[in-house]
Amino acid sequence: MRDTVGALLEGGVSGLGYALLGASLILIVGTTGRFHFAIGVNYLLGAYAAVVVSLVAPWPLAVAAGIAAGAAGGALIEAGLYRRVERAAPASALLNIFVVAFALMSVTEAVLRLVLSSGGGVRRVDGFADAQISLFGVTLTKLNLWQAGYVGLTLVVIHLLLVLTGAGLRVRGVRSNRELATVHGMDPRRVYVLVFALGCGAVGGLGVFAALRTAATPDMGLAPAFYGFVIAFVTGLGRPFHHALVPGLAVGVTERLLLNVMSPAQTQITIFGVLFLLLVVRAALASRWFVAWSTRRAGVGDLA
Amino acid sequence: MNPQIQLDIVNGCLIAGMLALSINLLLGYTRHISVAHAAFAGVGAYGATWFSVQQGLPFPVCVAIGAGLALACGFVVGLPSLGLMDEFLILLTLCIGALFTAVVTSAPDLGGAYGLLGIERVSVAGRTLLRPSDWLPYLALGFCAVVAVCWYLTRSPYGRRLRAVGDEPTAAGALGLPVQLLRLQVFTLAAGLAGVAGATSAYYNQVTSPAMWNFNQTLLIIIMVIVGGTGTLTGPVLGAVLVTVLPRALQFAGLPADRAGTYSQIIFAVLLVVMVLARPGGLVRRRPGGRIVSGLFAGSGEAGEESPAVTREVTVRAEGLTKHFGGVVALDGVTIALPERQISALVGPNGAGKTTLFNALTGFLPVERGRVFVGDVDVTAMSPARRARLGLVRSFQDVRSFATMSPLDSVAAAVPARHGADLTSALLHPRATRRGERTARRTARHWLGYVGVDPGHAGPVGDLSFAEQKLVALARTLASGAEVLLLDEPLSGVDERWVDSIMELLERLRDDGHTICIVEHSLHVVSRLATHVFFMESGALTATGTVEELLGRPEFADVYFGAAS
Repeated sequence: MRDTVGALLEGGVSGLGYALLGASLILIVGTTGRFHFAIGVNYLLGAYAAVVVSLVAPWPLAVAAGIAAGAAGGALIEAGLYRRVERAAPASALLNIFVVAFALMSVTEAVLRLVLSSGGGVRRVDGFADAQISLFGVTLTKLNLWQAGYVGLTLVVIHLLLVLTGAGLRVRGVRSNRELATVHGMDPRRVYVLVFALGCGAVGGLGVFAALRTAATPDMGLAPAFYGFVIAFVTGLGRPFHHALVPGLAVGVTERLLLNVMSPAQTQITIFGVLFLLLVVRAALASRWFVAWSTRRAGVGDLA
Repeated sequence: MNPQIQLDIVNGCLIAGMLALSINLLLGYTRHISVAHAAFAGVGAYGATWFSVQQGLPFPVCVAIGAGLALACGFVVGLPSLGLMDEFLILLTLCIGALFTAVVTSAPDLGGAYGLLGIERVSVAGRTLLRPSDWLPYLALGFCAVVAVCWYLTRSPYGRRLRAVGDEPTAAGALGLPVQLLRLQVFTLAAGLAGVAGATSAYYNQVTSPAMWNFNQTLLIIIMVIVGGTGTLTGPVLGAVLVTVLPRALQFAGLPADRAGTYSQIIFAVLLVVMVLARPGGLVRRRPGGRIVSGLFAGSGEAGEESPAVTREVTVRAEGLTKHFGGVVALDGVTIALPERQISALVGPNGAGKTTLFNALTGFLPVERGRVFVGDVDVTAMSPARRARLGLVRSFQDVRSFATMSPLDSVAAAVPARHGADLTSALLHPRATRRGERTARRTARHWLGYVGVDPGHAGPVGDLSFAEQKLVALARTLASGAEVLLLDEPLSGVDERWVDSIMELLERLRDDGHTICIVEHSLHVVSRLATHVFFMESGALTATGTVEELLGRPEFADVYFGAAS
């Protein structure tokens, strides 16, 4: 029983990470429309920034450095690249931005392999020693607690920022109706940079925790980008970003429980299969046929 | 350099060219993206290899099985996703790519991370293909076959429909083109062609492994097309040569193979970004407005005009249409019958529900209650394309041109399906296809002449003035065989000097037997054109009659006409 609770908690912590990835992408893609697959780059930047800073500073500062690196990277990608790509060919912006993001992932991985050629680019964050903690008879790791705290705090901070500040109001305005927001004097370009900084900063911090757990590796960005996008789309890009908690937690817990009965490879395949099915269902719910059918049904219900 | 190494590079270019040409059908024509293209090629490769190793089947059978499996996968993946946002398709195909890599990496029967070895050597006429020089003629043959398929798909009348779907899918659907079917066919075919390339590659390399068909490979294939040039046949081939030759060149320059691969990865990614920013069309650009359909499918004697007469009497009516957007009543039980062979106008203040009613009548917006009839046919559950094929076609406020096509092709694309317009008939019925294409061009010429646009204009529609684009859009609508035209603000944004000529045109169309309904704010236009006016307010039809009758009622003048005049 205690093992199961422990596994659930462990899965919950992974799930919180997935939820933050999804929430960040809901914030970014839902506001800007940019298919920022290079979120994996921000994850990588966070992890490797932490590796560098941990050489000279304690690990909490390394986490802060990872967040800052992710945020700066995101803002630079938006302001320096995506905006220009959109300007160059507005009609093909979605495709071109996705392809450029994909290329960014590839080039970042390759550069890291070249620059950190020894050991295949694998690096550890110094100064952090994980330990097990027993709470009410359930064993947890210190790192898991820190990660859960980080995700919770980040979601709360972003939520408060969006709800209480003028910048948050501008984000909500542009997210709701870009043209109208522009008419009211808001600059969507600045808002885009802000949401990129917020979302990518949050993901950069997650990269640090991944590096703390095992190590930073040049290819560590692909899977989080993939999971994040699926969770964001399954949640719905128009939904409030914290709604990603439910699918994120569901994926994390399911993945951990499956590991009890399957090999890691089989678990990965099952999870990919489940994510694919979730997407198909989500896609079917958004299809013209389903919308027409459900609209008619709603009409019949009203009559009844 | 050893000649066999040179030929090996040539052979690599041929296989890469097949892959690039196949994904170009999506990126360059129907303009949607698959990130699972390497996975589809991998399905072909693994399928062929497994049947060769386990079942000992011969090369052509294994390649056919591999291609068939990839084709089937393409169909299964394309089916649920093609009617959706492009973002969904990207993500679904990403998921398929990840799933494919995970499955083949973990399946012992498929060789795990190391892949499958031991594929049978290919023998032709008793001669085993061992060296690159042995393979070259057969790979060249396979490459030419893929080029021929792609040429057929893109330069036949079918290809013109693909271009229309790629340029403006909503307008294509409104004109009666089966957008989702065309997209599904191309997606499936592209996956099948990738399967052919994958299976061939497995035999040529004598191995297939997960690393050969992962995301990086997909990225390379996309780079070939975007750098080389989308929507052309030469561009992707040029891109394939570039992507194949560069890593080898770096090796010859003295870099170790792994470093050369990494440097190539960086160079390609940077090149891609530079091309997207500086030359979005790629190195070989498609000429906008150039003739799409090859002379082979049209033959001679295409001059002249075909003057199709209005033969059907189509009536459009709706009963009790109801639609809400959240708490807002967009349509409140609207019942309407458009007067036949007359021009009617739908008027009312902004937000009254006029465009929503057009959307509901043409099927772009599902309604909660009510029915729409075209003639006696209940079309409520039909798609916009099916309604268009019954003669009910709409235009859009924002034109939605097939911007890269010439006016002639733009209008010819809308001519209802005939021989050559579907996937296979240009192959199976070449003479009928030529006749059909000549008819389509004559019809297009007729309608372009009718609306006053030069059918010989060689540039793309996107280069025309806004008014001329509206006229081409009208010609396109007429060429679709529409009997009932719903025109959403046909004069908005048009220069004053064009207003009279467009109004004369609409009167001519009415005299020729078309039923027309316009959404219009200008009282001057409504007074001149409309014999019957429907007044809408807050989603409901609150009055009907002539302009004079409505103007005589002060409450309507206050709500609408007063504000408009």
